[in-house]
Amino acid sequence: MKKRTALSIGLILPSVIIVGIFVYAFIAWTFAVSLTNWNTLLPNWSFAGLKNYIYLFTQDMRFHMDLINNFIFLPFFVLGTMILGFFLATLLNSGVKFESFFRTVFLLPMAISLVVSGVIWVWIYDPTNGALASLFQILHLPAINWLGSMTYALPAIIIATIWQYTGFTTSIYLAGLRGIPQEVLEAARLDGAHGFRLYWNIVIPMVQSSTVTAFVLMVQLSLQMFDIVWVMTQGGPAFATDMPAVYMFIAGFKQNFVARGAAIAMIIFALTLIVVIPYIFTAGRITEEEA
Amino acid sequence: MRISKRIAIYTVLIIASIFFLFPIYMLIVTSLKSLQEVNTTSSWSLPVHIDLSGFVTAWNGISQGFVNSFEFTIPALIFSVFLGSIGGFALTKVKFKGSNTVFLFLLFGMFLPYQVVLIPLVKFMATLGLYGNIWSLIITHTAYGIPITTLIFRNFYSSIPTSLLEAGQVDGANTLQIYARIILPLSIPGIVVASIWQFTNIWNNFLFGLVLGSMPDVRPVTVMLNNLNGAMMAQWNTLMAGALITAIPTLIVYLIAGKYFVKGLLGGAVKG
Repeated sequence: MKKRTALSIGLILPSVIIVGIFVYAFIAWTFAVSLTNWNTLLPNWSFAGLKNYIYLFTQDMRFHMDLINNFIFLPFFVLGTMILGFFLATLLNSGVKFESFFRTVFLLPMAISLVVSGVIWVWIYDPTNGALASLFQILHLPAINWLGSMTYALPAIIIATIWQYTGFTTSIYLAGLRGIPQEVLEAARLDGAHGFRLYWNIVIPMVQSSTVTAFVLMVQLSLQMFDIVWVMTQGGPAFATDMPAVYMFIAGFKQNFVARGAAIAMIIFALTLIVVIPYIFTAGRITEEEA
Repeated sequence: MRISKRIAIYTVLIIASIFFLFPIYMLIVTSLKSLQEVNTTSSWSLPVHIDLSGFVTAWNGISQGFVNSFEFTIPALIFSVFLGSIGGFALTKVKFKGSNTVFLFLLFGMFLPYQVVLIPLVKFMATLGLYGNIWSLIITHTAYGIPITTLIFRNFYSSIPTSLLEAGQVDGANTLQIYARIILPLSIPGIVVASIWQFTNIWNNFLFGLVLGSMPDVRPVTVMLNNLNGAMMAQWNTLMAGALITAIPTLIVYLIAGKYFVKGLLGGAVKG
């Protein structure tokens, strides 16, 4: 038995070492850098305490805008993908024909890179020839420079990201809906639950674990939203679509504010932990019970 | 179900399909137009003449990236799937004290916002002398693929009855032999799911390529497409052709093996 245990540990050890370095040691490294004065081209490990964090929270207008943008983006994106996903999953689960065709179509954006999606959506939003501009012309509406507008740029990006990720939440909810035993639904119907009440009292509570999963994943994606913003607007115009993850990249890799970039990364990380830690421990408990 | 309700459901599903397919339609029709036609016809009309000049220009711009992406995606896919497979095996079939803790330790990496590792990652690769080397991307994608592949295989092996292994033990096979003779052949579906998921994820990744792909000979296609986007302002046929070239490998995999893609998606999501 001891030999088996040793072998088993040998099989898992490479993964543990690699993840230990690339995840845990790197997080510690980032945290350490965030406490230094390394806001220069050359490494400077002199201790700065919480100076970088204090600067971000008290003085840095760009970071304040990033947080505001991120907290506007987050509810629209999370609720948008979840509500649309639940709705589409419900329709797909109602015994329609061509169900697998529709499912394939809804999930298609998940198979392509956010860079590809970003480029396509920039074209759709193009103020002179883009699809939206052409439509507005036909309808005799005034031309709008969507991505160049302080008002519309963020909503435009939110729509593109909802397009990208709704297939994901649809799949999560569809798996959840498929897990509800038919007898439960029939019993509820016999008891007189129909339509909205059937959903509110029976279906929604029974797909709760799908809701939790979708919520955690979408919140986590919102907090680290970078690729599509970088491709579509680079955070502009005038920081109207800037996000903490965009600023982190700029500070850490373009402006040599390495310690500040590290501090922003730690803040993104801390915000992510708020939703991820409870989820991992409940998920861990569930799989343990199953095993 | 009443006819009117059926019609309503199909109508909504079709409208939703148009929403999801329209950008893909724009991608394809624009890539086939000449630059003149992009500017003269309405953007959603079908091309009057099929013109491939956009593809030629785009391919000149990003072909190196297309090759580079294969060069790191395939090895990183193989390494991460292999590590996930032996790890998932160890965690389910040769359980040891603390194996659940080890699993949580690995699982945590799945939810990591990559921003928090970017700076050390670049310094680390530079220290190893791998910055600007294709191995920096292979190692990086292997490392951050381990959590998801381990999870996929752990869930997969949980569904293989342990009695199969015990039968092997009675025959006097040791653990490694059990893995090679019994587990590996049974693992094919798991390997397919994990490989497709990893292929799509690694190919589509942008952030690691952005910070590690400083040299053109390691730069991924996604980063090259983004650069093309900056360089080819308003040349929409070229940009859409470039986007289509970038998307084609993962689109083909998805259209052929979408079923397994969904399993990877849910393998990482639902069972957590």
